[in-house]
Amino acid sequence: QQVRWIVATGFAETNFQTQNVRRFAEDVRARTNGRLEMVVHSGASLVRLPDILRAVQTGQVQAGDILLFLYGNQDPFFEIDTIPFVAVGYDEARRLHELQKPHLERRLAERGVRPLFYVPWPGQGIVSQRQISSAQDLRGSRMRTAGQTTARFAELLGAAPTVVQTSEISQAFFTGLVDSSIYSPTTAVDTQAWDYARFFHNTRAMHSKDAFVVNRRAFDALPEDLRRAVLESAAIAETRGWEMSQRREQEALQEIRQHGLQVVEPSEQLMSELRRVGDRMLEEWVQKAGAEGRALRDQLRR
Amino acid sequence: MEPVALATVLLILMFVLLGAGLWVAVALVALGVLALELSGAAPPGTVLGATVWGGSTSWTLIALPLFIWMGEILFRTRLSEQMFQGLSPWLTRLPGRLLHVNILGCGIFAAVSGSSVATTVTVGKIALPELERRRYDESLAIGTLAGSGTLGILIPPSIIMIVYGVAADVSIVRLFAAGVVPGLMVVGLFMLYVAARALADPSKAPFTDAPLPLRERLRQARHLIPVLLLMAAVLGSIYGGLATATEAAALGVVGALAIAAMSGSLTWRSFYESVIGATCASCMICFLLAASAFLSVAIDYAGLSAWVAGSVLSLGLSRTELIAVLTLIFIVMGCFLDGISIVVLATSLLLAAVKQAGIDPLWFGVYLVVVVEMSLITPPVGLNLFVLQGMTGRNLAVVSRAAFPFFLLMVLSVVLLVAFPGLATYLPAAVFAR
Amino acid sequence: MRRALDRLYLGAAVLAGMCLVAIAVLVVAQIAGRLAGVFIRGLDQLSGYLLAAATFLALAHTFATGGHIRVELLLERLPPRSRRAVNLACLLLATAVIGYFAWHAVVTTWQSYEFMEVTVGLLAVPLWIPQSVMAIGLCIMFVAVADALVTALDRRAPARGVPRPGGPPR
Ligand code: NA
Ligand code: NA
Repeated sequence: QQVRWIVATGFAETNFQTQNVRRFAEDVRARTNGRLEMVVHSGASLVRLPDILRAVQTGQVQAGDILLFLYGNQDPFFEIDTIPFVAVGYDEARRLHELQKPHLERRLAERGVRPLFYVPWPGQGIVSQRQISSAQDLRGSRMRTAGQTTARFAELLGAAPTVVQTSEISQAFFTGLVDSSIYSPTTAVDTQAWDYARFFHNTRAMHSKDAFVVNRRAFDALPEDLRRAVLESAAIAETRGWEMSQRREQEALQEIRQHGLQVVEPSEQLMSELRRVGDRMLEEWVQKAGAEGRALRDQLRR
Repeated sequence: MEPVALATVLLILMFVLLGAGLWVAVALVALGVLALELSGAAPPGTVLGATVWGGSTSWTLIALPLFIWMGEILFRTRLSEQMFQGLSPWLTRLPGRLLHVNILGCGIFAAVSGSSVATTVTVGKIALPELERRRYDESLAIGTLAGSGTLGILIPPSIIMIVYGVAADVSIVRLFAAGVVPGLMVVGLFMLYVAARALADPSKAPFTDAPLPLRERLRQARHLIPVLLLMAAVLGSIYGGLATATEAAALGVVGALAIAAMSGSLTWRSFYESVIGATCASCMICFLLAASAFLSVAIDYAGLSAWVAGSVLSLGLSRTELIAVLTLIFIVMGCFLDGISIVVLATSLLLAAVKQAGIDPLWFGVYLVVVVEMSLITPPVGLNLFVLQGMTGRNLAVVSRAAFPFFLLMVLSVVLLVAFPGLATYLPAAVFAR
Repeated sequence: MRRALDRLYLGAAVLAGMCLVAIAVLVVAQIAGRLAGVFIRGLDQLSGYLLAAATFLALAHTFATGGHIRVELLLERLPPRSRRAVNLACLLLATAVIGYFAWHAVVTTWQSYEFMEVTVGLLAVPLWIPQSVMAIGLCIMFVAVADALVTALDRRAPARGVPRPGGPPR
């Protein structure tokens, strides 16, 4: 008999994370000869992005694509991948992920959900009206922030953090409410950054991640062969997701360049200054994360 | 249950419950629970609790109670009289006379407010009693207000445009710019229609105010200074980079309180009444929005929205045919659903198909906003109708009938938008050309 | 009893009104803070919770004063006897639906407590704290609807939950 899973994602149909989830669903259907059917609802149409974890946990949906750092208030291990300049670029992000993963696994298990695969977002850069060659140039700027870590990052840089929702970014720049922001080149494309800013500093500051999670009871209720098919498809989806992310980063950089937004490789001075801020933020994170956090930091710095 | 059967059951039940006079929000919750129960897609109670909580704490909604409060404060000042004293001398010669105050007042206020309901409430509280006192045709007075009130979401800033821009990955700055020309066009169409009706039957807009000489008119225009200052504070704070639209709404409240204080109408009593009034009005609307968000989610769970979209796409239509069919569907949907739900459903279900058909998403956003405007004035579920029902004490049939000609004028606007897409796309292209 | 209930509804609505005033103050403070270069964490998030509080705490008073929208198109045209019957049916259904709604708001809040869920965003507080206002507001609303049902069963008492003639000028 056929099993149907309802799957919630918080991002638009065209987003690569959603597309990866869709291909995962197709793959599972093919492998199970249609015995496990996943109905994907994209664009937060069923559940708001921050509520997806809870929805999977309570069985409101069977599976979903969650943005890990959103749960940083619950436990600092959810947000370490979103501290800027701790793991720069995909290689460092991969290393951090391997260290972060067992902690995530345990915390998600406590909430009755099982992670199947993790996919990073493209690296984040700094978009601004003026070119930035040292951290000094960011002092006093009005920096758009979306969460805890970026707000703290702005504070440490001496910038004024300003909370602006993604939907209001372009308006905020347009009116001078903010003059810089840290986000990925895909967000630059999505908000058509060339309308409101001039420079994109390709700092690849951090790669926050999505996790595809499934309700553990729903997963355990599957027959053995279906479970195996899901896990096999998940492994493929993770590999594909990392590739898609990297490809998407390059495409997005290309696209913003074509639209006339200047893509700047950050100077060495700027990078070392920003990494120092990252170190400081990592120490602050360790304060919150306790002994386990210290162990993770030590392994990361080895 | 099969989608066809489920859709039929829900539709019939919706008519029965709403027709029997069940509170609309309660009916939407009941239908949502039933859709989830019958389809067995998800536990209704869990979805209800989660969806309603998520939908009730949204930052973008905050503008709504603030703008309503601003209207409540202004309602208790002499601003309505002042606006009429300032505006009316300029309009007494136009056929339709002070009915144009409804249209122009909404047009101006829409440039400050992001919400149609807030626009209707704010301008209506000022204009309706004045028109009634001058014995203007009630139907035209209500209709112009119902229609023009919807401009709140077409003329920037607009909450609906922000919702669409996020869902469809379209630049909000561009969307805002794209709404300007169609907004002015709709204002023009409404004014032409009112003028034509008044020429055919001058008693619709009786001659009550004698024309004044230019000097006197300019002198009367000083009464407009407070409202213009308020507009400048709200608009200026947005475009001057001081505030977001929500923050501008709060500045609007401060400005309104200042006007009330200066005109001597600010007492503890009036302050208290304005707060309770705004709270209850915003409570009704937010509760309705939360309930309809739940129903939208429930029919999405039940697979009904996917079924509808699949049926549409299987038809294989040309661009114009597709828009014609979509318009019909949106009009029907708009009879029962709120604007935000329509936009969210339309983008999540149809945007891919729309792009495939070669339709510019920016243009589609403006089109969608006009369609949502129509939905605000179609019964049985039309927020603007409900608001006017509350304000006039007339029943839904009277208010809907009054609004119907303006609904037709918006259909005409859609036709014009389809025939001349540049109405929406020219201005953003010109502004952002490099 | 009558006075106590009406005071309960109005008292909740006054609290809701205070939330609205607080929202305006917070939003203005956010602008002022930004102009002064002071960053106040999580004001927008707090405003969101206050908005929910304003909505749910005002439900009962809005209901009792006829502020919630209903379609009276057909109801008005019915002869008095059937009108009374249909109105009672509406009130009965509304009591059931709002009861169900209130119950699940309580369950949602309880689960947030049980899961030790923390809010997402710049303000980290236990989620059940802001959520409990939703549960409380809906429970008071339930009392108000049940109250209206009981009152409507008594033929002599004035109808409740029905818009006043002329409607509220809200
Ligand atoms: Na507007
Ligand atoms: Na409608």
